Amino acid sequence: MNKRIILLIILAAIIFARTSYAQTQPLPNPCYYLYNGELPSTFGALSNASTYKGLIGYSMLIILSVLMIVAFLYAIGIAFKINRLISFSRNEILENVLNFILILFVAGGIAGIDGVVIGIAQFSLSGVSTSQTSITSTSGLYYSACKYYYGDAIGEVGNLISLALTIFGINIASSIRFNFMPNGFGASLEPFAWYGLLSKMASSFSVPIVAITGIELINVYLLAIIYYIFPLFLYLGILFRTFPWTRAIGGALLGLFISFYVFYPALVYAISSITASSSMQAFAQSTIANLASGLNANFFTSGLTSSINPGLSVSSLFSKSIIAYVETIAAGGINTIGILISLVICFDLIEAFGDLLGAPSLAHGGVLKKVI
Amino acid sequence: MQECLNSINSFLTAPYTAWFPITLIAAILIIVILAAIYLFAPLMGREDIRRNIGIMIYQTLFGIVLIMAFGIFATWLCSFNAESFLQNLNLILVTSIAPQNANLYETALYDLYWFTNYGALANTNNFLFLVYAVFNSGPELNIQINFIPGIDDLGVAAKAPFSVGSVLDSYLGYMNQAIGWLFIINDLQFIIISAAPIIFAIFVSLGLIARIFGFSRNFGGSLIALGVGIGFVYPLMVSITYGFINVAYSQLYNSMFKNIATSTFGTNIQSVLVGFLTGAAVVNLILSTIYSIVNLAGFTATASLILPILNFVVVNTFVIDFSQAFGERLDFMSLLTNIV
Repeated sequence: MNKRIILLIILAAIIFARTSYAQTQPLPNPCYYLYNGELPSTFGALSNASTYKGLIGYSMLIILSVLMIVAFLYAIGIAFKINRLISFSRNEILENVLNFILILFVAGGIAGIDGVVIGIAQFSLSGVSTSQTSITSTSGLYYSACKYYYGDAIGEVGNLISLALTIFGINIASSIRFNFMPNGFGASLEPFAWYGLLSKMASSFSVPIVAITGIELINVYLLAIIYYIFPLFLYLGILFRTFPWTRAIGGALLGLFISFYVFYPALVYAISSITASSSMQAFAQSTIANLASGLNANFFTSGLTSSINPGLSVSSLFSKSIIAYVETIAAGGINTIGILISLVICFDLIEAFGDLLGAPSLAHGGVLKKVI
Repeated sequence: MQECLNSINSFLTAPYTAWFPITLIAAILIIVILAAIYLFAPLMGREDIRRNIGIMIYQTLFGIVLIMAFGIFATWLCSFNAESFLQNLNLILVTSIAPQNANLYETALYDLYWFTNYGALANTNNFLFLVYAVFNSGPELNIQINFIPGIDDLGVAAKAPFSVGSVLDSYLGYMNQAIGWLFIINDLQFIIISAAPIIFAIFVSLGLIARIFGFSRNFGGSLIALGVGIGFVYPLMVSITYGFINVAYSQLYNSMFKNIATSTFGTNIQSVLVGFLTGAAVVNLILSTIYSIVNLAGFTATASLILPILNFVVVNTFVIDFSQAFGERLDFMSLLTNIV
């Protein structure tokens, strides 16, 4: 019997020692699954994006094949003295040399991305104390950007849940009624009915929270789509650029690749490394707090207290509730604006590459306007 | 599914076999007429006409070469085993209803069909309906305390519904509306994909015929670009993008259930016992389910919104650049936008 009790005590001790483990709730981590899990091994042959050697290798292979065909045509032109074929082949050889330089530029750009992004992160670090991790590879860049925005989106979902619980409480309080009508005659009083107004106001905050969550989650999976699908545009772009009829399309695809695969994650990461910094967050919080105190002094305590409810508690509840949610929304809003700014810059870059690579579909086309 | 694929098969073969000889006969007829004019021009003393006719014959012969080239391309397109090629790149989800040795159109149709009827969009729609039903059902708090027993309506009462829907109704409404719109956008693509082979056959054949005549050469080039864009580039993009999304979704879906189980029960016996004793398992089950569904909805929203935009932008880019190289510039998305 004593042994059993001792064993039970030991078991209970072990269980309670593990309580801290049970309390840490492991959340779903799609970023790990997207860049380190099963997916990269499934699509490794398609993207080879973690190393870039694959991208460059495939592209070089395409150019080499086209060069061989063109050289063959040039040889036929020389042998049979067909001037048109000779000039065509010469032009094509020049175009392929240009393609080769373009690949070197892209490769150099890709190789330099990490350096650029790390440089931006270091620059941010020098001014603000950011919590972002340093980047050593492109998959690491995508992973970090994904993790940051996913974490923020899930944080917003948590805010939504707490908002729902708050509104529950407010609804219950607002429904409290004091009845003074025995036998169906008398009066009843609902002293907290005005909480209903507070509840409606708080409910309206769910809309921006949902919008921020949606945009951030879309960004998380948009990055994955870019990471896995856009390398195809590089291959197809280089392939299309080798033929005269499809040269413009090739340029357009290359423009899409460079703008979104190379620049978009770097921009998003750079902006998120600034907004994630503690000093930036503190600055935003203090700005909102200052605005809120001004709002409280000028509007709520003077206007609302005298016009709607004589009690000061009403105005302070209103202002506290609004300030709390504005702070929550503002934190996510900074990140959402970062995504939108990055997208606008990338669409502008597409047009610049359209001009550079001779793609009339992208040059001055207002691609962003078309998409919208 | 099978009926749809069968109809695609009939579309694939019939127009192609019809337009190819018709176009060829038209081109030969034109060459015969031009040759007759070429022969009779010196008799009328019009050497200038003879020179122009020579260029027109050359252009028509080039048109025939293009017809032959597109004939070879169309034959390859109809017979090319796209399903096997995409499967080598893991860009097709292997299921019981997946077509075997399918061509590009069948593969694109299958990818889109799986996405909307079995994959991300269908599951999210079902999950959201479930969430909507669960969130809108719940107990209602109804308390009434009477000061004097036996006398009603003399005391305190409180009443409030405990359903999440009463608080986040607008939020759930937005999500359902968004899913509805995404269904429409994706189903629209289904219609375009179903029509892609016939668009390819008709537009390219008309374009090739138009290119034979001097006055309609530019118009013909634009039609060819539109036919190849919608008939070839679009199904190719749909196969690649939706194939990737279906495979990625199936992996995400499987990992979601593992994650919920791990969050709820932990990874060992101790954590299971602790979870049940402290009640943390129930909280973790609810939270991890909510987060997983949010994740799933985010993935579906991205796929259903971004992929159609990406596919349309690439096709439009192709049509603009290809039409400019072959004939006159055609920006069909701007045209459609203006019409809308």
